Amino acid sequence: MFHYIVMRVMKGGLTFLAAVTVTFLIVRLMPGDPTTAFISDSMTPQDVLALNTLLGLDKSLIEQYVLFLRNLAHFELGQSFFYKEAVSAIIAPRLGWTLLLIGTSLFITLIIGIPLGVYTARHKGKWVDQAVSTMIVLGISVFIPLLAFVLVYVFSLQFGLTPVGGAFTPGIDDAERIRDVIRHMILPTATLVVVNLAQIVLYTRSSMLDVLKEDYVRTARAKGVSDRSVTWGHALRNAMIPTVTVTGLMLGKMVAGAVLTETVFSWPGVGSMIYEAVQKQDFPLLQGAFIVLAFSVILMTLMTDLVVAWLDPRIKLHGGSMR
Amino acid sequence: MIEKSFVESFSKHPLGMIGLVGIVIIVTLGLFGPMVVTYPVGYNEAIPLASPTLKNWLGTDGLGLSLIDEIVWGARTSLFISLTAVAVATCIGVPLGLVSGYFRGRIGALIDSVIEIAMTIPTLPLMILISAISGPSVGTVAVVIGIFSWPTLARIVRNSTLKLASLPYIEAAVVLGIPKRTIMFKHILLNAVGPALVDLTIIMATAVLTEAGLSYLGLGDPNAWSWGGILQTAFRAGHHFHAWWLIVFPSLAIMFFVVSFNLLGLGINETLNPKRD
Amino acid sequence: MSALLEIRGLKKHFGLKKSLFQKVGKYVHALDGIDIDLMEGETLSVVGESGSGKSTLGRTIVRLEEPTAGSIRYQGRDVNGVRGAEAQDLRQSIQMVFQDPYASLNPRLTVGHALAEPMLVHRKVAGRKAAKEAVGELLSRVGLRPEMASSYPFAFSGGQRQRIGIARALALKPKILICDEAVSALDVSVQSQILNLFNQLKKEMGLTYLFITHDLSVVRYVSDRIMVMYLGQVVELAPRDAFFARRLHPYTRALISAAPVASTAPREARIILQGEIPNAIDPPSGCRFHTRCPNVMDSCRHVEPQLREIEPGHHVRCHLYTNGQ
Repeated sequence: MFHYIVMRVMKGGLTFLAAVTVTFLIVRLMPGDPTTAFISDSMTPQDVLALNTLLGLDKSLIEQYVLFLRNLAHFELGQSFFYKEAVSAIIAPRLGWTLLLIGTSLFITLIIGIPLGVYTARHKGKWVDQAVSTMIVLGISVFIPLLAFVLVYVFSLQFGLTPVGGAFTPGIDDAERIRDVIRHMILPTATLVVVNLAQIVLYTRSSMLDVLKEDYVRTARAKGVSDRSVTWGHALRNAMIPTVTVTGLMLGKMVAGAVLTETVFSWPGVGSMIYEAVQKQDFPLLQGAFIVLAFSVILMTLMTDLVVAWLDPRIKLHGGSMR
Repeated sequence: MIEKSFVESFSKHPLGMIGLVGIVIIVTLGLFGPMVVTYPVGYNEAIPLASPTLKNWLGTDGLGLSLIDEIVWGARTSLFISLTAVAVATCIGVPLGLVSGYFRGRIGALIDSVIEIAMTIPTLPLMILISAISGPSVGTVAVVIGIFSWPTLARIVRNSTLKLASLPYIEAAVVLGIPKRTIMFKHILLNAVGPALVDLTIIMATAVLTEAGLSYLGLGDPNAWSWGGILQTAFRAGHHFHAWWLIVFPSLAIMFFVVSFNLLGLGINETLNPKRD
Repeated sequence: MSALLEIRGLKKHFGLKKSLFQKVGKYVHALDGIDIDLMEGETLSVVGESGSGKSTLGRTIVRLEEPTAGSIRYQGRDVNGVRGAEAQDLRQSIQMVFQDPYASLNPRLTVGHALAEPMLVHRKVAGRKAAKEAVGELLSRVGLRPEMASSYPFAFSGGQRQRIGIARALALKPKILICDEAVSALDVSVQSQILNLFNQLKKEMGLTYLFITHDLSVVRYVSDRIMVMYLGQVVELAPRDAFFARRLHPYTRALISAAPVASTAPREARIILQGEIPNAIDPPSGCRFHTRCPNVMDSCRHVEPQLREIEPGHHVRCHLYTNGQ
């Protein structure tokens, strides 16, 4: 198990390295003058000089890369064109909002999705299953801006139940604040949940169906173990493994969903920041946002893998090359 | 090459068949539509933002151009993007998957690690980065989507190859002296097609959603009609509250495309792995 | 009669690794020192229970596995480490028939395609047309109709598929056929048909067989010589009649007594072996069979017996026969 943890963390590290290297290369190798990615017209000559030193824009590619990595280790992500502040300072508070949104959505998705998947697997073929299957297909096909628009139109404009956007109303303090944030969170979370719920249910149902056919389930039933115990105790634990794995893989897609959702709802997270950065052609900010997002996703995937390892005794014993 | 039994079982799945029908409609629209319908261009002063009428079945947009024309041409764009993405993903993913699954040892594990790393990197932000820097164009978007779709495909092909490579008929081919590349690209590939096909339908569906998303964020190709682009223009100009048709119809088109391909994929999946009791 | 295949000291050990980065800990000793000559025109049956290494032997000869030690010589040439054109040459001479008729044919290829492919790869035929004719001829030879070439495997029964598998193995006109449990997965009635086919083909095409099986009744029917394997070693080797008349090795005796006999005549007492098959990872010391042998002696636990020729052509690996008995 320890062996597996070490391997897995190393792999996570490698992945992050790959992600930032790709970012590095994209920015510098794309057609056009790479320096325009970092130097905007509004900078003073001193700024340009400082930036040159920091990023080594006049040095060779390898040297730039090393400098890049070293800066990264110090959380130095460059300076935003638009805000004229350090990118890392801009991103930090926004990361919290994004994590709040993604975390809550993930939690709700799993709480609803897994039992739903289990239930439809056990009652396969009945109308509940059919209805849910239809919703699954719709769910994985949804276009986020549309869903978001519909939700806002119905709940915010027609019924005035929820705010149109943002994460909070300025000027409200502490006691009320939490409730205020929650009110603002409802629609964006709902959007993310709808999209990801479909995936989770699909996967849980599928793997549950596989597991329920297995011999050990038949044996447990023959032994007289109660149906509920079979489902939740024996079968679920093993069916969980692919589900948790999928959650890990889904996180990357969740981030994509978050980008769109945050933009539509003006949720002040890293995702919407990407949109703003694109609009303003603020490349340092864009690059920084991506790196931060990549890191979060990789970290979350790492944690899900460790949970899977904890659930799956085979990995503990065999060291994990068991996909 | 496709067994009769596969086609037979597939036709029994209502969902898969619905998807197939949807796809036929889309392909017809995308391939032949533009021949019938004129390319929407310019500015028609007479009728901007007109609601659906007999003349313009789906209404007109802010420039007075007929929405239905735009949607038909958008179908072609969507097909182009998704097929290109599939082509790119296949060219990279399938060979890598086959090789990594067939040559177990170091090479296989190495490629698999690469696949895994590539899979974990969040793709949309990266695509945004690329589009922002290189300038939006349909071709770039399509190729980039393909480049980000290959890892999953490779993983699927690899898993199939791993299972197939130890089957007796593959060993027989080895003993008969059939060259390795023939074994991989004919003997194994022919049998690994099933799950890969499912993933291809997913790639096509995702490609359209991704392109729509990118267009929505303002990174779409301004020169090509795309459903996401129509939405984006409408949102930008603030039309969305009084010209509902500008939002509804392109969105329906997107959903129709995506749902059809997803259904097809589900149908194929069910046919290959029947979960009947 | 010359020896087509000379095998000396053949060993195959499979390493067990825990993960990609850990060193190999233990080995499965699948083959541990095999010496045998396969004479031209004979049918040599290799008998043993699962784990004896008989399948590994066959697979190593056709190079599905590479030997850990020892040599295999075909017509005097070393088979080991051969590559390229030379390897292709060898492929044409030694072929294999597989056990499971439902898994030994590629479901996505037509029968004709599967049979023509080796011929085209090795350039045995001039082109597609010639290949088609050759395929038709092959199918007739195994008792099938040439028209079947355009069908897919799923259209055929187990017996028919096995015939197709045999035809495929014969496509390159080999000299040696390794039959790895080639009839074990078939119904008994079909088995006899296929065995007759094997005999017939042997005469017509001048083949030499290495017949791997666990079924002694089959062995009696097809063999010229019989070789018994246990835990990776040869324990007895004899011509057929001598084998059944004078079963020397205790393991052989147990095997033969366990074989079902379709007869109501009073049977000899069954010898039931005590204990389980030992682990091929850690074979017992001394004689590998000593943990289950009804005739075990003290020396058996400590000294490994060698394969000795007791009578002309009859070899045994057992202390019972090497102490002047």
